Amino acid sequence: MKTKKLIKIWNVAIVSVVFFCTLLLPGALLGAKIPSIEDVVALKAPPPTIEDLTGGRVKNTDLIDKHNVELVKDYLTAAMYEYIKKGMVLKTGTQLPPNQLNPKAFRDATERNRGKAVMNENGAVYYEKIGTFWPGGYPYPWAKTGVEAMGNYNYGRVWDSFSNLPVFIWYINPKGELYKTSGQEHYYIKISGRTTVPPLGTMPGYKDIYVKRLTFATYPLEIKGLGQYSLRYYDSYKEYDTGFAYLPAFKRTLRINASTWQDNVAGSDMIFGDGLAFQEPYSNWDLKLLGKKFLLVHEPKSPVPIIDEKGNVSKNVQFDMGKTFPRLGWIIWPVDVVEAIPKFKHVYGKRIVFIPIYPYIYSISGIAATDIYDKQMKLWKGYIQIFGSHRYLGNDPDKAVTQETGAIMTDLQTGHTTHFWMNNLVNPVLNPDSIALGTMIKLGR
Amino acid sequence: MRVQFWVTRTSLLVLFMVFLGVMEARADIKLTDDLSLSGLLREELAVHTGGKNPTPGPWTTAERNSLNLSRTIFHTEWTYKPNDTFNLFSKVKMLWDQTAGLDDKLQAYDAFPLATPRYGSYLRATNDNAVDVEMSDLYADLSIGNLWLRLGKQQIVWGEVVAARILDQINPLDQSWHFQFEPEEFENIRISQWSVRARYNMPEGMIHALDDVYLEGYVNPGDVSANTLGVPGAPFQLQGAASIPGYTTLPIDDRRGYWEYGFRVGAKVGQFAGTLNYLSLYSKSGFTEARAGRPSFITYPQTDLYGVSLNYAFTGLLNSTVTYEATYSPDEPYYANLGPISPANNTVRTAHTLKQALLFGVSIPVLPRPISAMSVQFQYAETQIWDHDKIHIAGGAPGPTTNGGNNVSADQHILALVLSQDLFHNNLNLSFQAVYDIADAYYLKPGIKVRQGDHWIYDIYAVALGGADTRYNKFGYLSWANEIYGRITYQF
Repeated sequence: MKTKKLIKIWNVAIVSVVFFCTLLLPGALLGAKIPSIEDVVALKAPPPTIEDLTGGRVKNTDLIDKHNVELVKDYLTAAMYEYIKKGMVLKTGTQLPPNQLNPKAFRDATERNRGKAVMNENGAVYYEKIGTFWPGGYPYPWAKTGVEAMGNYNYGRVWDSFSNLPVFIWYINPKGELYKTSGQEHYYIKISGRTTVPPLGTMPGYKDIYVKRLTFATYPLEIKGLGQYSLRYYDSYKEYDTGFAYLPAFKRTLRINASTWQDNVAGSDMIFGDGLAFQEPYSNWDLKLLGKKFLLVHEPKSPVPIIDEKGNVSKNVQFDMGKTFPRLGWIIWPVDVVEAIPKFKHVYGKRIVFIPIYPYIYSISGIAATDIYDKQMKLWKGYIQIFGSHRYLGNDPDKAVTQETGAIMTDLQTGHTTHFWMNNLVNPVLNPDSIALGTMIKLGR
Repeated sequence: MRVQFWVTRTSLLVLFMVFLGVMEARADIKLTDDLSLSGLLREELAVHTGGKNPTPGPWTTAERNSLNLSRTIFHTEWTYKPNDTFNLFSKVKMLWDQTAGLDDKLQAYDAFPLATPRYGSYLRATNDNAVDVEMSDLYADLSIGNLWLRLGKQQIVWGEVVAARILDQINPLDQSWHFQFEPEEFENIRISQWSVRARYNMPEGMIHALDDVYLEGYVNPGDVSANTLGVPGAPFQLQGAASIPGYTTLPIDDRRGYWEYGFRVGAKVGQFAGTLNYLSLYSKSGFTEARAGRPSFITYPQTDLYGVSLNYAFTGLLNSTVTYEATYSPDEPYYANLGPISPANNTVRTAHTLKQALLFGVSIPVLPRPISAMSVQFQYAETQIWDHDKIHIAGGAPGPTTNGGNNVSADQHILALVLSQDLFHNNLNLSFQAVYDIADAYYLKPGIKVRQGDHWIYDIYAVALGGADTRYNKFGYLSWANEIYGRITYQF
């Protein structure tokens, strides 16, 4: 009898403790449902939702705005947090499983080459031994250092080629008014690390060239035909980029210095080094892996297209703060957080780079977002990559791609915003010799 | 003439109404999936601040003209691109020059002297002193693998330096337009010619140690013409009527029907890139010559140009670039008179001539980032005539039209500085161009450009020429052309 009473008291005590713990620490019970990053990337569990991470305080059907941003602050970049306080609104996006994010050939290459990446003193990634170009796939599926994470970004590019046809740049003033636009076209081709578009591996004959790039302006007339052709080499510290520009007003091709990463892009809020989130050679930066975390990143697939094939933003896209912030869908992905501090005199004091962790990666930029600080280490700007266009190339489910749709950068110190909107085509068949000096003259005026 | 008057003005009106209809376009206007249209409407006004044009001409008064230019331009560009292999491009311009109509110190003159029956290939539909309708460019592009062809009426520009024409010698210039004062340098004044241009990109790796190798060539199968100058009475008239085709009574040995051609090879070795070039051309300036047994005539001698360009980019040294460009001609034509300049006395001889330029370019963050860096280009150019004693003109004191005044120096050295600074998200641009001939002549052109939204551009420039070297065609001689000019442009 006494024992039965003791057992009963003990059960009541346990239930009471659990009850009060649940009341006081609602996440404590639900916390057991949040998978670890390791489990998520090992595909033992799907990525959590924002509702999971906040213990239900923010529902997946809720909008995230300045009223509840404190509840999700831990899952935002510093710039996104400030943007939301200013008026940006997020909605929950559509998650996709990894096999619908990138081509199977890229994932197979990652698994096939797992553990075989080696890195030289400049952060250039090779296969098994220095000098053998990386054949493709994500070099460091589980990065242990900042350099490895950035090596993933540079040498683990999913795309073999891509084009942005067209690109529209929006210039938005602090009042949220769209006051100017300009148009571009971009062509990129990767010479080595090719996994999907033949020839695979490395294209013969191109020596140390890694990426060939051609961009030119299409609008307005004043700059129409203004072109830039550049070459990125495999070890960008050993051999710096080569660049040429075509000036249609003078009908001349000029040699330019392609290492002017700090120069402003067409009057926008971005510098050339901000292209694809971190275009300048990272070997000139001190890189430190701050850790891994779950982060709200742009969804890989929008329920409705954000832009059409002509590059026009869909009328279905809603904006907040005038045209400053598009209201788009966001999901939780695991990311590496890398602190990058320039080793030389730079307009930026540091960048915090958020790199999705394999296999949850996009098909274009390997970076989801960056926070940019000025030289006084005050938060200055945030770069956010927008995706949301999901396709199967040739309707082949083994050739899934998450195509880039755009990028947003708001200068928190001036309130000016730049949007890049683009109709992005991943892995078109491009002749590398068609991305050449003479192409600028052909495409120019 | 009366019908033409109304045709041209009606055409202007129609195009203006089309223009009004497309004013709000934010990009190229897609007329169909394959045909797009872009363009601009511009008004230019140049207020004359220099002295009276000393060239003998039919000036109505002894006073200087108040305006150098008042002109409206409706410029359209038509692109037909059905696929990646073929496209057709055309520039159609309508121009209305009001200068003589607005300035009572100017007599009516032909503002569009290119429109002559002799040069029907210029595709100018009008023969009106004040209104011009022309198709300045018309060409087709064809891409077949690594081969690119451009056939039609086009500008072909080789060369990389600024404020100078070293390799850029293929197209003649229409200097009746506005001299070379416009910020686009030669873009608006090169006379497009019917040519075939071809470029072949060699497959990478075909030639060991060389990258980006290409072969390029062009042929102009007879659409050869000369520079065009301002005609008698034009504010920019530079020569007397006796020297100007269309006005001279002298026979002209022009080169219509003769072939011009050129070819080059380009490549890159490491960070060095360059070209080797050859051009077979006829002189763009006419020479009045006398020969035994023949009355004086105007001729355009043939010249050979051998050229080279080389460029390199530094990292760390202010992220700068350096470009070198040179041409050598064994047979550049010059006057070589033993007596005063006159059609009866003129003798034309050729001399070995080297022209070369070294351009240094850098971006300097003059103002705090994120303001764009200032673009700075500094260039040294020189011309050397190696057998100068062959072309000395005897006698006469220096002056614009004297024998001594027409002497060409054995060497000429020119410094050029071009600065450009963008501000306020590229909505404001400040520019400054200075060219100095160390024989004491200068050309200065500061400017301001304001961009408003997608469509409107306002720019204003001052042009100042001067210096003690007042030989004909030198900056010092041209000080009478000083002006302040502005433009309002609506682009679509």
